[in-house]
Amino acid sequence: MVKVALAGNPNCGKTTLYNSLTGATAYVGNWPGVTVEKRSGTYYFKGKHKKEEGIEIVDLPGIYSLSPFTPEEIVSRNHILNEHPDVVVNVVDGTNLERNLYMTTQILEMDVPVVVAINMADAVEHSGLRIDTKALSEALGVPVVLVSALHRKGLENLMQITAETAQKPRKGVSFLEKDELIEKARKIYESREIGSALFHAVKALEGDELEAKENHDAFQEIQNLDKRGKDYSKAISTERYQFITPLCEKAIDESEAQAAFSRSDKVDRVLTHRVFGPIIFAAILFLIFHFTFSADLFYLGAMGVPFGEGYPGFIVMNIGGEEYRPFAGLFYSADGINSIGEFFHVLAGDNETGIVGCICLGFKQLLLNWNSPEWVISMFYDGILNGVAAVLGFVPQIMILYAFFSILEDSGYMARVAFMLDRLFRKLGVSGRAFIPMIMGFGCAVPAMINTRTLSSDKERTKTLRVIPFFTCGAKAEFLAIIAAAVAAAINFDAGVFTFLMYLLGIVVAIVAVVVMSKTTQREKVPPFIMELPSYHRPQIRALLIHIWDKGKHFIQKAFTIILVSTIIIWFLASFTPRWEFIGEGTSGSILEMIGCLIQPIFTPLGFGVQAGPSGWALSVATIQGLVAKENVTATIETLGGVLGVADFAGIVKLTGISTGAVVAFGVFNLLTIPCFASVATLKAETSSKKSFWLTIAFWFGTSYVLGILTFLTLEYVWTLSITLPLIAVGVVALILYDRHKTKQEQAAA
Amino acid sequence: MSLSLAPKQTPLRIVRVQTDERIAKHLASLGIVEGESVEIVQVRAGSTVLKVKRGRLALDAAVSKGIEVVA
Repeated sequence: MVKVALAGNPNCGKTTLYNSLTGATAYVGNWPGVTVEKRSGTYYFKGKHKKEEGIEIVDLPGIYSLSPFTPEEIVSRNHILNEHPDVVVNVVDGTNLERNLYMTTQILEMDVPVVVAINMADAVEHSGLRIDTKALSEALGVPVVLVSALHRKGLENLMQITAETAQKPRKGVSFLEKDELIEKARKIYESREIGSALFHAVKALEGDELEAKENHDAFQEIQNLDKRGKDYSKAISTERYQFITPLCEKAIDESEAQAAFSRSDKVDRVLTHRVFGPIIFAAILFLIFHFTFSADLFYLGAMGVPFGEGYPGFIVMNIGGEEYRPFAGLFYSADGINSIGEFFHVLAGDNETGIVGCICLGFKQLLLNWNSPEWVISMFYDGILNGVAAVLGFVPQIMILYAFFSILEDSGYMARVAFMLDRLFRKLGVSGRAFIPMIMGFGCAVPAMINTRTLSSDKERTKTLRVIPFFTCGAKAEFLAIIAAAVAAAINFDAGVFTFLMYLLGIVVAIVAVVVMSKTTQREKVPPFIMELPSYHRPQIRALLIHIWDKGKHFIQKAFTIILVSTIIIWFLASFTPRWEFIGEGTSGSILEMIGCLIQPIFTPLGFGVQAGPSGWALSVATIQGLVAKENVTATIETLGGVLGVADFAGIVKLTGISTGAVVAFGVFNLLTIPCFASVATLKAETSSKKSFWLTIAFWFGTSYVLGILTFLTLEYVWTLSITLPLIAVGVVALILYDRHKTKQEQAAA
Repeated sequence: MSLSLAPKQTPLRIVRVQTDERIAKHLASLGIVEGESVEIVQVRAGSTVLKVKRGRLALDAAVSKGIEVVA
C-alpha cells in the first residue's frame, strides 16, 4: 500500500482535500490550526476496493515552516522524517502561492518524492489569476497539479501522479545559493548515515532548536564550522524568497487579477471596528445563547404579552391511568415563545414529553399490557429510560449551539475575535490565541484541550488547559437547565437569565484564575500574537451539517453507552437493599443510600450535605456521577427522582428541603469541578508532567469547593460577607504585593 | 520607522526585523523578511493587520514595534 503524507500551510484546504480523497468527515474550520493531530484514511481509484489497491493518506497539522514554532508543528516534521512516507503531497493555497512555496523549498530538501498540489483552483480562477503549472514543475523539479478539494476537481489526476511519483526515489534538492558550508554540513550528516542529510544540514546551519536536540553531535560539529547562527538563518530565509518571488512572477499571470480581498477588508472595517467590534461580538454571543436556550424569545412574555396556559399540544395519551400531553408547550409556553433551541428541546422531550416521551410512554403501555410486575416497569421506565431520555432530549439543543459556533468558526470570524481580544488577554496574562481553545470549551472540553497545542509556550498552555472546563460545555448546559427550572420554581427567578449568569460566572472564574496564575506560578512574558486572518467565506453547508451530525452522534452514542450503563447501575443500587430485596418507590434502605450517606457530609459546607436530610444522598450521588460524565448529573437526578417518587429536580429540592442558596451552590460546584473522565484523560495526555496533572485536578476541585461554599454562604447568610469580603481583599493585596516583589526580582535579574 | 507608527494603506518596505530568533524565524515563514513589501490595513493601539504577499497577517503591538519599515 502506498503511503502518502499531506503537508502544507495552515488553512490551505488540506483537511478538505483529505476528506474529499478518503470520504472522511474530519472537521474543517476557517482559521489556522484546526488540525492539531495527524489522522489517516484510504483513497481508492474508481472501481478498485481491495485493501492492497488503496492509497493510505495521512493528514498532518498545517505548518508554515519545518522549524517548529508550536507543539503541533513538530508532529508534521517528525512524520515526514521518521515515518518515511512513500511520497509527500505538498498542498499549497493557489491564492497565496508565494508564501506557501516557502515551505515547499524546505520539503524539497528532504530525500522523499514530492508532488505539489495547488489547491483552491476555483478561487484562483475566480480571482483572475492564471498559474503556469509547467513552469513551476520545471523549476521545482517535481510534478505540480491543480486541484479543487472543495469541488472535487482534479483529484483522480492528482492521485494517479502521486502513485507514479511514489515509485521514483528522490534526493533532496536545495534552491539556496551554492555554498561550500552547506556541502560540508551535508557531508557531516552523510558520514553519520542520517537520511535527508541536506535538510538536516540546512536546519543545523540555521541553528534549529530541534536539530540541536535530536542530532546533537552532528549539530555541534556544524556549529564549529560557522558561528553566524542568527544572521545565517536570516540570510537563508531571504535566499528562499529570492528564489520564489521571481519564480512566481514568471509562473503567475496577474494581468486580469481582481483586488485580492477587498470584500473581506470592507467587512472587517465594521466587524473589527474599535468601538463596534466588541459590541457586535457581545451581541452575537448573547443572540446565540438566546436563540439556543431561551423559552421566552425576545422577552415578549416578560414584557407582558399574554400566552395563557401555553400551547396545549396535539396529542393526548392515557397511560396507566394518567393523562399525558407530550407536545404541550412545543411552540410557546406560559412564559413566552420558544427559541429554536428550546423548540427542538421540547420536540425531542424527556421520558414523558416529545418524541422521546412518546416512545417511552409507548414502551410503558406495552409493559402494562403484558401485566409486567412493578419492579420491571420501574427498572425500564424509571430506571433506564428516564435517565437516558433526559440526556437525549438535550441533544438537538446542543447541536444547535454547535451549529452557531461552527458557522462563526467556518466564516473566518473567530480569528478576528482572537485578534480583537489580544490586547485585553495580554493584560490578563495570555495571548489572544488562547481565545480559540477557550471558546471551543463551550462545545466540549476535549477538542478544546487538544487545540491548546497551537499555543507557543508551555505556561500559556497550562493556564489555558486549566480554565477550559470553566467554559460551560454542552453536557453541563443540561443540568444547568434543570437547576434553573428549580430556582425558577422556588423564587420565581427567570430561568434564561439564571443560565446566562451561570455561563458568565464560569467566564469570570476563568479570567480570575488566569490572572492569579500569571501573577504567581505561571509567570512569563506573554507569547507574541502572530496570526493569519483568512478571507471571509460562506460556511460550507455540507461540511457544517456533517460536523454537527458527528457531534450529535457522539452525544447519542454516549447516552446509549456510558450514560446507559451508569443509569442502570444507579437504578439497581438505588432499588435494592444490601440483602437484595427490591424496594418500592419512596422507601429507604437501598445500597446507594448507604454509599451516598457516607459522601453526603462532604457537601455540608455547600448546603446540600447533612442539611438535605434522609433523601439528600441523591444529590451527592449525582455529583459524584458527574465526574464520569456531566450528562450523568442530569440522568442520575432523573433516575433517583423516579426512585424517590418525585417528578423532577424541583421535586428533589422540595423533598430534601435544601435552600435556594444550596441549589445554586450545587450548580456552581458541578459547573466548576473536575470535568468528565474524557477530559481528565485528555488533560493527562496534554500535560508534560505528572505533577502538573495532579495540581490541575486539585485546582479544579479546590476552586469549585471554595466557590460552592462562598455561593451558599453569601446567598443564605448575607452577613458572612462581612467576613469573606475582607478575606478576599487581603488575598488581593497579598497577590499585588507578591507580584511587585517578583517583578522587582525579575528586573534585577535582567 | 517602526510598523506601529507607519501610515495605513501605503506601500512599505521592511528594512529590519528585530525580535528574538524563534519569533523572527516564524515571521520569515509567514513572509515577513527584510526587503519584503507590505501594506498596513488596520492599526489597533499598536497592533497591526498587514497585507503580506497575498495573505493578511495580524501582529500584536510588541511584534509590530520590532519591525522597521520605510515608505
